[in-house]
Amino acid sequence: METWAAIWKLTFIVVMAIFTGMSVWVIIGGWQDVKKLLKTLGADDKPSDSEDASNGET
Amino acid sequence: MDPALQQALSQTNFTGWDWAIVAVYLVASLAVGLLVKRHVRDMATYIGAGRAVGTKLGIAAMAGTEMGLITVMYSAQKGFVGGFAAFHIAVASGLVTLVVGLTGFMVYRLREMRVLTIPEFYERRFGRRTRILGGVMLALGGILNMGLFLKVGSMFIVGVTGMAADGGALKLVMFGLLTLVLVYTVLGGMISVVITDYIQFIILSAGVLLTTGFAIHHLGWNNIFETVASEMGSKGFNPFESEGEFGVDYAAWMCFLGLVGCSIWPTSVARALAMESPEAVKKQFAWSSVSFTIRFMVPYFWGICAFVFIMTAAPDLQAVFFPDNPADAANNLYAMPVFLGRILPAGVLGLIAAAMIAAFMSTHDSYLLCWSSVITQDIVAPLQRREMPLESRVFLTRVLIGAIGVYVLWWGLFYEGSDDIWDYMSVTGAIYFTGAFAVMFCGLYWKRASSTGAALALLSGSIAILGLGPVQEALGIAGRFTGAQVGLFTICFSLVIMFLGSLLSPDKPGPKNTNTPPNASL
Repeated sequence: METWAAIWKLTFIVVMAIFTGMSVWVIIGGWQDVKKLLKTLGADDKPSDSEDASNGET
Repeated sequence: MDPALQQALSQTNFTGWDWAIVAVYLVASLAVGLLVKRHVRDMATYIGAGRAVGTKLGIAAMAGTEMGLITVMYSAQKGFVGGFAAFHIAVASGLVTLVVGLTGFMVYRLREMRVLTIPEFYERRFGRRTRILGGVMLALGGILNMGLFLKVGSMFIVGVTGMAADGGALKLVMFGLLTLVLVYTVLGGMISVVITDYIQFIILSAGVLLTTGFAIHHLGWNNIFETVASEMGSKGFNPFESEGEFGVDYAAWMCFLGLVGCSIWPTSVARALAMESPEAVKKQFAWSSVSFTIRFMVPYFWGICAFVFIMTAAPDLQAVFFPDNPADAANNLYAMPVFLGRILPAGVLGLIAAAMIAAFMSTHDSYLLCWSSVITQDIVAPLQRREMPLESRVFLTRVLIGAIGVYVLWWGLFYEGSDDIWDYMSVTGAIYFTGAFAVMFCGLYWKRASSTGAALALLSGSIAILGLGPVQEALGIAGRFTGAQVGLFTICFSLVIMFLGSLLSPDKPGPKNTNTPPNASL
């Protein structure tokens, strides 16, 4: 039982430490990805807007 | 509701400030959903976010989706009854996800094929009829699987806020949460889902770390382990102990669930298929192995802490959850939220409630979008003689989101099964993923896999429903087999029947029926 308890203690500490570091990395990097995604989708929207306009639609 | 339980639930530190924190979060989520609505222009942007999601945003979205409030609740329940031995499920899930990330097992090839849904892969590989059958099995297992999400999630909100003093609170919360999630899922599709998942990841991370810190501070690190040891003995630590909650067959079933949970389960695969490249998918899965571990391990720990708190510091709760007559025990799903409501200070409780509502919404929106788009893209559209117009697809998907929402409300109010929630979910999910694993594994890696074998394997997944408590009782076989044993048998049977069906009835040479409408596979 002591062995299992030690394994789970160590596992929990290691996983929590990795999660803390990963959270910071993902939060900072994810914000850059959000901006990139919106920029990409915004750029994709533009041709269809002009196409609509050329068809006389607003 | 039992008066003793009502009394126990009403003792919470939740205040008006906490409600304000929750309200600010909900308004912000809705605003995001409305703001990104203008980018939805076709099915690829509606259900695939235009395949333009970067790695870190993908990791956040995956974590936001897979660490739902339902996950937190059923995991806390497992930790509450199984102690630290439940950690083996988290470790299995994380390791298997890491292997998938390092090898690209199945998900890499799927992303390379640029399919939007798994049944779309069925059609390319095995033909249209397999796609429709796969879509039916997927929708059946998936929708049944999410049947208790709303009720269990609402139980957390009720428990942590102390609303239980009002007997109708649970139903009101269920209705309110459902309405909220339906509105912004219908409006924004995958774009709003991905972006709100990101916001939810921020709040979830903070909430997870803060709550865990408070729990350890309140109970004491060593006291947690010592209490589990004294109350549960070695079965509270050793997952393979035969007299414990788990055992070898359960652990084997959990390893398989870890594999299908990340590589076959449609909401995870949907995240992979929305990534910008196959290489990004591998990175996403490798890093997500951490969040796949955390999503189980942290709630297990909270459930364990709730158990320790009840056994050492809350005699009133001990009488509610562990009465002399076990038949009178309150639903142990309430244990973790009641524990948090008592140990977390005002303000932090608001943050954790917002985090959990975030978790609830991020799971619900993804699942609603997933199952509704499967019905539209993989069942209804392929059955049409003419190509289904884009507008009709988006409209039908939105209608189905509403219909599934109504079903979830109804099922949550009326289902009376006594299985642990996790076991209920693994059995209902197995209706789909046992057959799907055989079909996808053989379809991707074995040239001789045939459509007959695929159809037989998909249908054989329905055997898994025999693992469900009410079904076993109806058939008079209650207690003979565990859900894990039925699940393991079903996956073996599906693989064998896929193999035999393919050998005995090979497909004729020639192109498959792959005239998928362009809009369905952009």
